[in-house]
Amino acid sequence: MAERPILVRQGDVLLRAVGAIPVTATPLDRDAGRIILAYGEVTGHAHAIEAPAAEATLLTTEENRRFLRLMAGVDLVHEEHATIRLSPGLYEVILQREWTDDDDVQRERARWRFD
Amino acid sequence: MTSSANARAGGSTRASRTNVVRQALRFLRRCWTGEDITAATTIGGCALLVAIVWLLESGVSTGLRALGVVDPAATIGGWAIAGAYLLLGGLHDHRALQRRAERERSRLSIRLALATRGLERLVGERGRVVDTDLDSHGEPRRLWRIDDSRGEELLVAVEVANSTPDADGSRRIYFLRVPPGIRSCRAAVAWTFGIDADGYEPAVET
Repeated sequence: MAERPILVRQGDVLLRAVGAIPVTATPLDRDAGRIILAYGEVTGHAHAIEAPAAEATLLTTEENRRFLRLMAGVDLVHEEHATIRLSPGLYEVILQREWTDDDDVQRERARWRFD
Repeated sequence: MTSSANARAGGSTRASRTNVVRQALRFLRRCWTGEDITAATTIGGCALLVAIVWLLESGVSTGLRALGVVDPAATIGGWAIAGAYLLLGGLHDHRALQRRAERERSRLSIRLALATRGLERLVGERGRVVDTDLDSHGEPRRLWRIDDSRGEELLVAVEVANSTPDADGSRRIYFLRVPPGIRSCRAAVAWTFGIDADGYEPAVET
């Protein structure tokens, strides 16, 4: 049986352990020295990592997938959620999504095949 | 060819036949429920074509009958079949369009209600709970569903509690809209992260 990838969740951010990061991924800029995985829509709170560039890097691909490369254990912090200690390794960063009216329109179009 | 290869080939043919039958049944179901307007139009078009053929045949028959060659009963049968085809084709197209219009009305009504009432209040007023379970912290989760007048899903949402409690120890509740077709709270939460229900088991969650 295939081993399940390790999942770590802090609120609406999920980190999935991966074996490799696409070679085309490029580093993203930090915000005031911190890596920000996601900002709160209303509160301005953020899922953030404070660590030197040698220990943590956030990367992105052309398909807008994001990956985290950790060379040492770091803390993932947020104003409302308990801090999570992340082990060194490679992670994909996944943000929580919701079904929208646009998704609904597309689904109905496919269903009715009217257009 | 070895016996196992033969068995594989036979299995593959059976699977292919089953697939064709399944697709045909799906096509018929979509026609019957009026979901597929293309299919409805095709059936209507075929009915019209058959009707024209029968009418032509009927005209020829009438001429022949004048000459005393064809039995008049055959012509009457032709007219009856052509009429039945036309009637069924027309009824089917009408039914399909009607169903589509009803569905559109229901969806617009839900969109309006969502915009004015909000998801939480809307599911509380019009929804029903179709699944419940506990999250990794032992907090209850509920899957809500709102149907249209024919019992088809219009909206599905999952009710979850925040993983980290507030200062007073309570956990904030929030609602997330998920795609129609989701049947369990676990699958709903997994979908929000783009993961299969079976693979969703966070090692740490705060």
